[in-house]
Amino acid sequence: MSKDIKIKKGLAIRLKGEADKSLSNAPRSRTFAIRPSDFHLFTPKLVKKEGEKILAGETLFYSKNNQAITFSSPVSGTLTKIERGPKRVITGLTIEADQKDTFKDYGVKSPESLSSQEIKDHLLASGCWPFVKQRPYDVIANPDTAPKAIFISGLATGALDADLDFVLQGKQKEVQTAITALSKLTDGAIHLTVAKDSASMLSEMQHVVLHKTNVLHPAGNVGTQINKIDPINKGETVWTVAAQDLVIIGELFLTGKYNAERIVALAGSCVKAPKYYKTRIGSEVATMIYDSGLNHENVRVISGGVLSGDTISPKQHLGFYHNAVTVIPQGDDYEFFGWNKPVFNKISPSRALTFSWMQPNKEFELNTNTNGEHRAFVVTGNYEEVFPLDIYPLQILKACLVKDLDAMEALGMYEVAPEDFALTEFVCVSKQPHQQIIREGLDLMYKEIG
Amino acid sequence: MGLKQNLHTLKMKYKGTKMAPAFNAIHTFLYLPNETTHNGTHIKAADDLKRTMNMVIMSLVPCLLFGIFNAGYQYNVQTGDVTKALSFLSTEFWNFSNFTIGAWKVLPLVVVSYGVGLIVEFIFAVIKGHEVEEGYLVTGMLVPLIVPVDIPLWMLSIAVIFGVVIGKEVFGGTGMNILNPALTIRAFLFFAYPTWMSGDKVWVTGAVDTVGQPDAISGETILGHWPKTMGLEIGV
Repeated sequence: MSKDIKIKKGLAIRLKGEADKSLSNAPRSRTFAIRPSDFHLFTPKLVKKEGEKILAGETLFYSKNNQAITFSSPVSGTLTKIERGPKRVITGLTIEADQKDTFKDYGVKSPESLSSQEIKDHLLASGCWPFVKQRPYDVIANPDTAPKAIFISGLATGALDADLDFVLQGKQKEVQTAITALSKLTDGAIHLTVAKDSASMLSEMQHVVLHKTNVLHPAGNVGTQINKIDPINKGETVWTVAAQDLVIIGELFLTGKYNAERIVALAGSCVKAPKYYKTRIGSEVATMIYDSGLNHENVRVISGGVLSGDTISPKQHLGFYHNAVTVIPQGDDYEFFGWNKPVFNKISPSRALTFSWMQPNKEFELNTNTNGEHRAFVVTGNYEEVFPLDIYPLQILKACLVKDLDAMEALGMYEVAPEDFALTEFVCVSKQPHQQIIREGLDLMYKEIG
Repeated sequence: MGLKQNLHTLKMKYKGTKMAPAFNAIHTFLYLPNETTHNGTHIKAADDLKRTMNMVIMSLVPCLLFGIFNAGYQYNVQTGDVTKALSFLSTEFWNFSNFTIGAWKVLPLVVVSYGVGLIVEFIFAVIKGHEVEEGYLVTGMLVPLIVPVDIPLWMLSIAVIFGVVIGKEVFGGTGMNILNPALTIRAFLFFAYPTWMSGDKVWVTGAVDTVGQPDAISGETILGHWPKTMGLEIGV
């Protein structure tokens, strides 16, 4: 039962520096790192010790809460450094990579002939399970629950996001294998959403319910698709997998290797030659940045997109779930009468002497300036204009701030993830950290109810 | 740039002190601050609360101008200096005399409303250690538009202090208030000084002091009036 989606509320953010559709191999990074903070609410328990050799795809650590969930090394090499924060929490694992990867062999398997439990065990043992996330709470899926459906977004609509059609080129077999495997894990459907007029190979996939949508951001967010196709009620669970991770899962079944290779978009107005790079999860982003060069000195490097990514330094590494590295100018400068003069070079959803509405196709060069100071929430009605979910955004944010679990539940907290609030955070006149508020609200719910 | 650098140095000097909010209020009036995003959304839309409130004030300026002309016009009509305007665009309304009389009465209300209100805002910002909020910029413009034109300025000051403190600051400032500060000011005046706030004369400059002109004339009904003034031929 296919259901087409039409998103009316949203905002297209057009930025300079979109990645050119050409693919290069990123120079091999000397060190690779896994940040346990990428796996929210999971405490790592190490399997390997400092100085030990490790194969690509070999278990590096497992989750303290659920020992079945393991995390594998993206490369073969030596575990050189274990960084610890306060209370000896592990904050980073650095692996010095070998010249060439030696993979741990998990055996070629055909998902058609495996049972649901066997597929689950295979994904868990190989370290592919963390690619499967769940709603509510937007964390790694609990393998003991049965999801009512699995959602895959086949399009990216955010500013400077990697184009999934380009990234998945020639990976049809891998993606299909992964979808076949995942389809055994749920009694419900796998909902795959693609852009309305795209010629994506994803629209030829088997074992899925295909949906089409217009491309206004946040139509590409999986949260928007869940809300429009099959909303989550209390007690229900939905799993989501990012399209680029299907390739890794598919390759595991086809070759028996956990191959953490990923095509990443290096984009942003500060990059001299923005394009796509073939690299691996956890590789140092400097390898790509220095290869293509920067045209600006004072920059912000982001692992992920401009709306929900993490700030990193060029010496740091690509996040586990990210398929883009974005470099934009820092905005740590004052602007004379910036609060009342007419603005032509910034994006605004309003017409308060801001003229981005007159230039719908212009690509803007935005920096990291907040364009104003932090204030209390003021009801302006502009969140609702960019928030397509059937949820009251302001009310749910306030419920999170006052830690009112009943209100959070009633307002639909089970359905949301921080990234759904990226656009409301972008347009917020009070410059409130919406995504952080939602994350903290979800953490509280997980602790109290989950 | 000299000014920018000097202000930045001062900002750093005041950082963390009691006076920081007061200094920042003036600094951010001149310059959009150099704050950057952290995690979350790395870019932000151009609008902030200052810009939003500034738009409201700009939209209120035509109302204020009309109010100024109207205050003068009502006065002139009442004294008989001007005949009634026949249309909205007529020169009986839009003339210099109306404007000067109106401005002389209305602008002091604007100045007192902004002055007193912002002093209260600054004091609360310093005490609570948060930034001065922009909400009062709109309230300060609304107040002259909704109070009688002849109201004594001391009354207005008391009302503004009451309205800002009880209507807004006790709840935590702009965005947290459950009362509208401008209407709280109006309500305070209405209950505290009812004679200055009721009746039709308070809305016209000087009308309260006008004596000798009756408000209305009472007499026999029209059926008694006609026989005296008209001939019998239109009778039964």
